[in-house]
Formats: sequence, C-alpha cells, structure tokens
Amino acid sequence: MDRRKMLALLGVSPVLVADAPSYARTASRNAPKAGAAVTSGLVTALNPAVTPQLAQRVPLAPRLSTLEGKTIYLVDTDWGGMGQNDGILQEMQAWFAQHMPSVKTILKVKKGNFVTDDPALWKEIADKKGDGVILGVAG
Amino acid sequence: MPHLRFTFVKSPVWGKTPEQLQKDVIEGKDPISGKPVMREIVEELTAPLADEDKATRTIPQSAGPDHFGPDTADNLQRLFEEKGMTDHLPIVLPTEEKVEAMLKATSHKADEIVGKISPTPGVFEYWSYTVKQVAVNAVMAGADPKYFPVILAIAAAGKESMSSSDNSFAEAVVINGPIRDEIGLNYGIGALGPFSHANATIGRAYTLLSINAGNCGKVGETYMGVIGNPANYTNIVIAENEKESPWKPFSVRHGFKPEESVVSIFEGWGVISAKNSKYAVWQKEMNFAQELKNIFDDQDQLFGGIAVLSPAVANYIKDEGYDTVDKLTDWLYQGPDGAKPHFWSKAQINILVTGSSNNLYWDYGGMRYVKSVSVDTWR
Repeated sequence: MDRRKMLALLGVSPVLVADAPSYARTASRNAPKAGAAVTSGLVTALNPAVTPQLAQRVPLAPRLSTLEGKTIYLVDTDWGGMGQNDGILQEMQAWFAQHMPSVKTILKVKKGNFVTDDPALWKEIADKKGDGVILGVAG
Repeated sequence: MPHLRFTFVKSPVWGKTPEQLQKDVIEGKDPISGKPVMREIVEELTAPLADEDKATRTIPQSAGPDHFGPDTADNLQRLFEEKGMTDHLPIVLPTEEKVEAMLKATSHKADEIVGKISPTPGVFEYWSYTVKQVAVNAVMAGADPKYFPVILAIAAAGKESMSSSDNSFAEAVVINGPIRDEIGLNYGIGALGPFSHANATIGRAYTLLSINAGNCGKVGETYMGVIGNPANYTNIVIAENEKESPWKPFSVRHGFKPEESVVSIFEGWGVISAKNSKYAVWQKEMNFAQELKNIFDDQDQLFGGIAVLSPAVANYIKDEGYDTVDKLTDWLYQGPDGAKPHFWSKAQINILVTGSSNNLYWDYGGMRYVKSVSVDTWR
C-alpha cells in the first residue's frame, strides 16, 4: 500500500503531512555508519528482509500461429486430489465447440494433486501430438 | 513466475452449475487483467514469444539496502510498516547493537544459513536466511537474546508460519525440555494466552521471520487467507507442563531425551475450547477419554486431531486407564466395533498437556505434526 492510501485509511490527509520530515532513507555518504546506531536522537536500523534467490527460468514453449485445426489438451491439475474440479474445463471445451469448432479439445485430469507430477500424461500428450495445453487450477 | 502466461478466473468455481460457470467464468473477464477470459487464453497460446520469454537465466531481485537511516525512531517505525516488514504492531528497531547482542546468544556464525521457507512449498520458491537475518527479526519481535536458540530452532524447521493458502492456516510451536524454565516460558495459568514475554515474542519472531525471510504474508500475492487467522500474530506457542503431566513429554515420545530442549511445529486450523463441542458434557461422572474420541471422530480428517489438555484433565484420563499416550492413541484411533478408523493413521492423533489445574477445561483442534528440531544444537 502506498503512503497516500495508508494515510487516507488512517484518516489523515496526505496534504497535511506533505511538509513533514522525510521518511528514512538509506545512509548517505556523510551519515554515520550502521554501527553507530543512535546519533543525536537518530537511529539506524538493519534491514530484516532477505534478497531472494530465484530459480533458473526456463524458456516458454513455442507458440502456435493459430489454433484452427489444432489439438489442445485441457488438463485439470486436480488441485486437492478429489477429482471434482474439472467442471470449468468442461465448459471451456463447450466454448471451443461453439466458437472455434475446428479446434479439437481433449480433457484430462492429472493424477495426484496439485504438487504431484504425472509423467505418463505428459508423455501421452507428446505422443499423440497435442499442439498445446491449457493447464487449469480450480478452487 | 515472471513471463509465464496465465489467466485468472472469477473465484470460486466450486459448487457452481454448468450454466453459472459458463456465464460467470467462461464468458466473464479475468479479474486481474480485465480481458475476456477465453480471448485471453487464445492470445496466450498464439501471441509470439518476446526475447525475454525465450531467455534462460536467473532474474535478479533485491531486498534493498542493508540498513535504513539514520532517522527518527517514528519515521523508521513507519518505514518498516509501509515496506510490509511488520505485523502492523510497533516493533523494536533492529539496531546493530541489539542484533549483535542477539547474536551473542548462539555459538553459530552470523553468516551461517539456518534454513529456508516458502509461502507454500511446491508453489513458491524457497528463500533461505542466515543466523543474522533471524537475529534481526528476533530483535524486531522484542525477543530477549536468551530466547534466541529457540527462535533459531524454529527457523531451522523451515516451515512457514503463514501459508499462501486461502484456508487461513495457523501454526503451533510446542516447546519441551529444560529451556522452558531457563527462559521463563509460561505453561501454567493461561499458557496459550498473552501472559509471558518469552511465549509472546518467540511466537511473534516466527511470524516476522516468515514475512521478511520467507516471502510470506504479502496480501494478494503470497497470502490469500479468506478469513485470516488471529493465531498468525504470535502463532500458538505451547510449552508443555511436563511437571504435572502424567505422560512422557511430546518430544520424548518422538525420540528425544528428557534433558534435551526441543521445538515441534504443527500446522492446521488452530485450537478451540472443547466446551464448543456438543460432546463435551458436564456430568456427575466424567469420561474424558470418551469425550475426546467423540470429538475426534466428528472432525475433518485433513489435519487429524490435536488435544491440548490441562494437567487435571490429563490425569483424569490416566486414571481412566490410559497410563501412556500410546494406549490412549490406540483407543482413540479404533473404529467403532471393528469398523474402519476415522483418521487415516495413528500419527494423526496428537496429545499435549499444558496450562493449570484450577478447572477441567481443555482445547481441541485439527493440527498435524510437522517436525521437531533440537534447541540445544542452536545454543
């Protein structure tokens, strides 16, 4: 939330504090070092946040120029492993049948739940030459 | 994941008829992008890839400078809150001196990696953190340095205090061993309430660490709890009343020695007074074991059953013939007349003892045991 929104929620007009002392900034060249925590009533505080280490990104799969005449798999991740969530993909399938009838859609429910892999399904999609996949999470 | 192409649909989708799904979801708009759902999906499958989409690399991120200020304490308080680094309560500003004092309470080096946390493993990446980063968050929580080995052990468990799930989960920290008396943890009257500096600040440090070092609690991004959970402020800290319990401490039942100090993490819905249940009936002759079984057999199975018994109730149950927790668990797990047990395994049943004995109250809930970590290894 930005400062203006927060102040508005607190019932304080952003205008009223426009001339208030500035918020803390990072130490300037002339400022005391971090070790000198309190100088003339001023405080230096350490940053509690961690710089995240992100995993290597993989390239996205090549895109299709058109969906006309293609085979698209609709895959339900079966979020909770209960086999009850594919209704939305059924409706998506109905939408394709009505609005893009040349698109062949195949609905599959992934085994396991949202964190389990299903290599057999990925192989099936590759072997049957699926052109694209819409992977769905429903909750 | 940046650049991944996805479409949001209006939630929830469970419990809707095909007609409602077609109207509200398929023919609706992505609530984030504002684009019609199906048009967006078709575009995502067919729009050409940009160079960045084809790249394989690590995307650099920064948490900002290593310190803030010098500035007034009020301004820094406000800065920390605006940056989402607090639980929206005032913090102790983590000065170098206070953090140094915290670091002196462990033999471990400041730059040693303690563990890693993800808001939901398998969905979000893990962030790892050092002893010093745990110390900064412990200072912010107001913790005394003598609590630091306990906080490090919690950090080493690598379990988020706030899941990204829309379920609004709570975490519990069970503490056993001599450390309870060494640092003044409360396991008497009001054991789960705000009546001890150690219980309060250790639990709060866990939440602040999860926010700042585990990417948790960012509303709309890494936190989606529909209702939220008040236990997330300080978590449910349960120092067991080993002195008055008729049974071996939880940690000992899980392979630790009685003289070892141990933290054990639980996850689930939280706990509530048994008086909430229709099965908790006050009568002339109490049968607490049966009461407990009736309640557990009526609970959801996902997180199993946890009972937080007062020593008085625990001793009643012992006198009913259950002189070990194993005996009690065996009986609680049984299905009626040879039928299939309600829970999936005995490990889903957990019994703890804390609080005072001035009346026969106890708590129950659905919380699963996650793991235990030695506090002594972090001294």
